[in-house]
Amino acid sequence: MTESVFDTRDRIRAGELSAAAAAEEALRQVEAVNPQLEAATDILREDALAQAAEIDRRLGVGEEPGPLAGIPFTVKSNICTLGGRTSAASRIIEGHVSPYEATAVRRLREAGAVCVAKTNLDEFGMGSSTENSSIKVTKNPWKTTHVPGGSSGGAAALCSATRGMLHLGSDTGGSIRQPASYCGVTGLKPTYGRVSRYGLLAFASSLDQIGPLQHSALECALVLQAMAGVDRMDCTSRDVEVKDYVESASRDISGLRIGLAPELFPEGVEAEVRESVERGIEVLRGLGAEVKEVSLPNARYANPAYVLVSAAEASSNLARYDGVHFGHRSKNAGDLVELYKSSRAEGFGPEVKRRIMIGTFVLSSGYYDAFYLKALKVRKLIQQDFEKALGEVDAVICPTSPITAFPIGERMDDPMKLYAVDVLTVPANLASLPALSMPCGLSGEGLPVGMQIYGRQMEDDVVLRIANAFQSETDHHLRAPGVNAWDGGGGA
Amino acid sequence: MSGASRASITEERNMSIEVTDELVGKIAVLSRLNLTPEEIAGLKEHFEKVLEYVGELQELDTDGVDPSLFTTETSNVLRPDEGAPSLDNETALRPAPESEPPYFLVPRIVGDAESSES
Amino acid sequence: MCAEKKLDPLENSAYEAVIGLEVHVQLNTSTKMFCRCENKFGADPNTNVCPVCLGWPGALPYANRQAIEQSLRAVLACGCEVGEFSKFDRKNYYYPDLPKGYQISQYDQPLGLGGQVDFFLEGERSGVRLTRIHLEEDAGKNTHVGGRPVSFVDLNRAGTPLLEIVTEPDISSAAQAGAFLRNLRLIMLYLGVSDCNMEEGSLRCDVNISIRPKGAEHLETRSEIKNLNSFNFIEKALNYEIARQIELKERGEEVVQETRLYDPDRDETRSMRGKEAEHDYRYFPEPDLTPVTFTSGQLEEIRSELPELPIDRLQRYTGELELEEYPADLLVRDHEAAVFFDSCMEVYPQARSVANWILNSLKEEANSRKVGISSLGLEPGRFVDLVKAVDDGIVSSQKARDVLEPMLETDKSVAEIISELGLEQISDDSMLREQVEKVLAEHPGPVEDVRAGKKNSVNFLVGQVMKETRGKANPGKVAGIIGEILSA
Repeated sequence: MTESVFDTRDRIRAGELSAAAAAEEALRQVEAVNPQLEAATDILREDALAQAAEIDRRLGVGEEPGPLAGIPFTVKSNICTLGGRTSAASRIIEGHVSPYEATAVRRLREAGAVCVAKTNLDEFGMGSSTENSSIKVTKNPWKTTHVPGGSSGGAAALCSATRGMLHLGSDTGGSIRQPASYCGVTGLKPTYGRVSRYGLLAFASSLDQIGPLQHSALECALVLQAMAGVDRMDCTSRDVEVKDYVESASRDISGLRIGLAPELFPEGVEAEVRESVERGIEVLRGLGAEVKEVSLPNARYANPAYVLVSAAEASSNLARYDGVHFGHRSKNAGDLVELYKSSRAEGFGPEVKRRIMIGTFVLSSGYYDAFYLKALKVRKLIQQDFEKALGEVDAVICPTSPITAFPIGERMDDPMKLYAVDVLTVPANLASLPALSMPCGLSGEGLPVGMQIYGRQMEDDVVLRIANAFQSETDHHLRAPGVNAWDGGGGA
Repeated sequence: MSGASRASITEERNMSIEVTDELVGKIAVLSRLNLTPEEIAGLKEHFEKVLEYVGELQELDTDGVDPSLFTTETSNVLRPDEGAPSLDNETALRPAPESEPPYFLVPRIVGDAESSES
Repeated sequence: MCAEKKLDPLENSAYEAVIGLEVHVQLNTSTKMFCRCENKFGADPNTNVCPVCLGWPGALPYANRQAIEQSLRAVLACGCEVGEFSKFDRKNYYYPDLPKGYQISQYDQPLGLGGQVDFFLEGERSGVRLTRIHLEEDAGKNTHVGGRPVSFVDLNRAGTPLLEIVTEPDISSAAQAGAFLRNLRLIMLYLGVSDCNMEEGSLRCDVNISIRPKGAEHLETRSEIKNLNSFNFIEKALNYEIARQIELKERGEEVVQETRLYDPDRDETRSMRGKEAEHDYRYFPEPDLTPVTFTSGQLEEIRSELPELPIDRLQRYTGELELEEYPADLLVRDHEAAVFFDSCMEVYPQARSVANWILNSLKEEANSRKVGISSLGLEPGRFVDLVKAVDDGIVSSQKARDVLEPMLETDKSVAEIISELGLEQISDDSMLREQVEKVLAEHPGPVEDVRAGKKNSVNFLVGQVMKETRGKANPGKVAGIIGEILSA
């Protein structure tokens, strides 16, 4: 029974554990919790065992399969893999088997990792609870009547309830960080351009990033190291050196300056969340970090700007789902125009339709300047705010979400209520900054609270370092949720 | 077609848009979505809420601010004119809902246009 | 030049035509604009595709550097302003040949703005201003089979780099449109950026046309004509449309704003359908690509490396080199011939004879081998040896033609070949005199005719001398000697 990904890795290296056994264990864990959590959309038993067998064979003949040899991993279902379906939890590409794999996935596989499952999400990444999945609603392992967050809810829930494997999610407005916070795990949204987007089904091109959800910042660092780097298939991926993130994240943080912006502790933040985060900041102070106040005067405009920018880009990115070259085609279509309209109406869920409509409107003739262009100008102001603040400090800390996990169904009657939980995460996507969420406490109800760390562009290691320092002093990240596969296996 | 100006029928600061059935219907056509009457009603409501929510942005004075058109400062990320293997016909058509190899198949396109831009 | 003179509908008309063109030129890069598929024509359907140009979920574009460089050359050659900053934008609409549901194009910051293309028409130089030139990706192709309610989609062409060149409505006749297009095509050929083959679709043109009372300044309703596959069709379609619009106006009717197609079999344009409500393309900057920036230094370098443009070459040939317009024009239109000609001029600057020889014999050899002149592998130095030999009277013009083929097939010098084939012309006066006297003695009748003033008989006598010498006599000299003897 492994305790961490490093454990899995080291034991495989030492010959104490075969890749096949690690894969079997991972599959066992996923299968144990999935009936209750419904986090995995595809469990890839055959593929995983075949890949693991190949790793074992190579290890057996003294070959070097890579730094992640034999480590099992899961992939969010909006990221292309060769095995399993890449449906983005949408009916419009329900059974879609991608003929090619995402660069990030390929790099993990080439490092020797073994893909065991695809995970559930809000359709096309649009949502903050995984309730917008067309497949099923994933449950929070801490309280199965509550949401795991979204859109990477499947990955977060699965990560929380299992051990010893890697999990890939994606983040456009908080979709890694917020579910990480609700499920008590550590999630990193890398700097925009740090990880290739090739093979990630685009939601908002200027905001999307692939990132890890793990039990610790060091595990996140390990994944980032394997995936990061410029990609010849994605010209927005930046040609910046990939550091030894694990090493850099292991350094101490004394003298690091941490900023607190009152604008990121707005009124909507629940008292328990605020208190947990403040206690967390004290821990960092104790570790030698300097804490000072900074100002982000335009932070409150981030979410409205995000709503407009992300919807606009999404409306265009989702135009390719038209029933012509792939995906669902309506049987009811007479002519071509009807074909488009019916296929898309039948294939897309309500939230996706809402965002496409808003996005189309925002870009349409007569409204472009007042909405889209305006949002881009506000985006620039927010970028400038952070540039200034991060000139005075090395990182900015705030809660990940104003609240903890909410009951399933509670916010489904009004989409605006769901948008509201993103207010503290979207600035990172708008400003292309690395940002991480880590657990810093539990609410009275026993639900995890997440603390968020923002860093400078391409300083993902600093963000990871602060989190790792925190995790060396605390044990929030080691706590097990009610439903888990290692502590008694599949408990309530 | 030429030049930079887009006709802006609303003043940046004086936004008052009436969300009518007609507007929603027009956007639905542009989005290629068939909507039921209930959906249209729901969307009208949603539009109004979103417009209210984003209305805050109008408070901000953004005169003279350059819009953030691209996420990073980089430009000229270009690739050399070198080829890579293409897919074979079977792979290309595999995900298609309807095809008649070697072609994708769609309902007859009205009008004689052979190509886009109609 | 020799196109049949069509009835010009504007002749003696109270109206004038206002024409603007939208030209699409496919660049001849090795790969497509945003992916690494081969940029080629004629592959089996849907075999020249990849996740990117198929618009598959998760795929991303990556701009081709060579396409941008080629575009810049075209933009500078056409005299456009190039800003230091240019970007790509998405043009959103739905069509089966557009797999992403948007075309990556350029909207408000294209590679080139303004510009002008000059050309000669009926001896006069004129110009057409350009509005802009931008770079975009081509769409795929839809085809249908008669009788079936389906269309077939082939995405091989999707993603091919396309230059879109838009003119101001400066063109006022079909002939002018034709001249402009031919010259634009030449410019692209000179730059080597496109094959400009209308049959293969690497050059396409749509036209916008309206008419208005002569001398008016305003613009009236225009129609758009598409599906024009050759320069010839473009001119015919324009003439038809001008006549049609004039007729409508004279009947008191209005021209409808619409798209029309040209039917070459009937030589008429037909309405495609009423022009739909203007598309709302919802242009916005393409977030998956970076902008492109240029320094004035880079632009200067490109500008300085541009080849001489066709119109400038034409002016040089007719001016400095004093060539007649017709051969000059023919040379300019064949880039390889012009380049060859210029190389010859460096060695033997007799423009007229060199031009003559290139345009007649050399081109014939090239055509029969189905290649361009540069593929003949003939060094200009050797070629001018032949021309010189003719000019110097060493070989007759007629016999020289027999020298050309061996020149192309062997390395032998001109002198060698002439000697081997025994083609030397007899130019020696005394030898010729001998022959002439012999012939004159044998043909007293024609001699009398010449003395009587019948010039044709001189030719007959010259012919007889040529026969006697088996074609080797220098006919010019023979004629001269005959004249001399008989006028004495």
